Amino acid sequence: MTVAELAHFPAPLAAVPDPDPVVRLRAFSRAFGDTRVLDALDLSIAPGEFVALLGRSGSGKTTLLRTLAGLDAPNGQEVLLPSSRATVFQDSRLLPWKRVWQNVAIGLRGPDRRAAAEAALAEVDLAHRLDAWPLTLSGGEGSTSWTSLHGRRRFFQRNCR
Amino acid sequence: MRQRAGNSSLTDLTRSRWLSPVLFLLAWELACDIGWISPHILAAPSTVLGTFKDMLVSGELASNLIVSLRHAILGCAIGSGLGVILALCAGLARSGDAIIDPIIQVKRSIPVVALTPLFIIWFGIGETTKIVLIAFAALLPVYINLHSGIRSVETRLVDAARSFGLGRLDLIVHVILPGALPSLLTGLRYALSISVLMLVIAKQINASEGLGFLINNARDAMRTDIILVCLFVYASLGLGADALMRAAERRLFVWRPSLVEI
Repeated sequence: MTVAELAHFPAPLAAVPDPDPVVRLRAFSRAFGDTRVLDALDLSIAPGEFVALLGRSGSGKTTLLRTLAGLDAPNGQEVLLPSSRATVFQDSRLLPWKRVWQNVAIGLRGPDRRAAAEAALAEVDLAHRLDAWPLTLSGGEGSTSWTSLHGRRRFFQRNCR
Repeated sequence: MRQRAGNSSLTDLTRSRWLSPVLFLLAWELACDIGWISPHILAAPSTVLGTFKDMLVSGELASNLIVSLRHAILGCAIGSGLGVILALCAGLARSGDAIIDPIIQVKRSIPVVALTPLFIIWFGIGETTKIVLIAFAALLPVYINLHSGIRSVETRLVDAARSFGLGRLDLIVHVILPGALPSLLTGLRYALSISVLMLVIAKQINASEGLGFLINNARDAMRTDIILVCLFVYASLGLGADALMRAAERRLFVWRPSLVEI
């Protein structure tokens, strides 16, 4: 990695029960046409470790994060990702044709979907907007319910798109 | 100035959108009644209304309308159905796109009306030709609109849904299809109006029943009143189809902010 920089913040020792990395890229490269965005990147992230990714616009931050989020296919390269992961996009990306609770429950299965969504929305004080349509939410309500989507998940990841 | 109050009804009248059509009808009626316009050229509105009532009472209008409607609805349903299936195949899979899209583009460059002679040779002059013509014409707007609708679903929403682990089928059902639905409705709206248009053209081929039959007979007998009644019915069909689609849109798109009551 030449332009973007990775800053590792090691987890406190107590929080590292397993030294094996949960995320591992080996000599990962990605190019769009003639532009080589990522060139032979090696990256390991241990459980509980915080990693900050810094870099100028166009230095490949989003490209890396899209790979880490599993949105781009690894194309035969060595990419190890945890099966349980979450991506928080910068903007609210609620589906406008689903009510707020259905948005929060997206990807969940089973009869407890609504209850899980209710709990997640109650946590962010949006229980009264369960049945609202996303486009009628205020900007703040929208991003809050969008964030509460991730209240269900354990891992957070920020995409600087 | 106090004359405002006194003139307000006059102002309302001159601004009313009903005024010019009503005046037009009155002038038309008057011109026919004093003999300026021969009934062979154009029947008077009152005659048209009387003929309309007579045809309604005798059941002549209803029976022929049902035949025409059946052709239009059947043709439109077959055409739109095929359009939806083809657009789904082409929109959701790259290989489907490569196979289907070029053929549709070729078909698009041929005016459907120009295919009439071929269809008559293949299917005869019976109702099959009419239904096939309507279906063929209705297919295109549905395909084109749905295809572009599927292709223009926002990638940011697709990415977000995928990040929650939605599989391909879930993605199609919950994200791509609802996102493309407005385009589908637009396509269906075009398909309906094209169906009515093709109905008129197809009915000129050889009609033994239906609205086209009524018009052809009326032409031979120089009955302009019957022709006008049929034109009126065609117009109502078009308006009815459009109202139907707008009602469907209101029901389907309750989530749109302009339609949501806050």
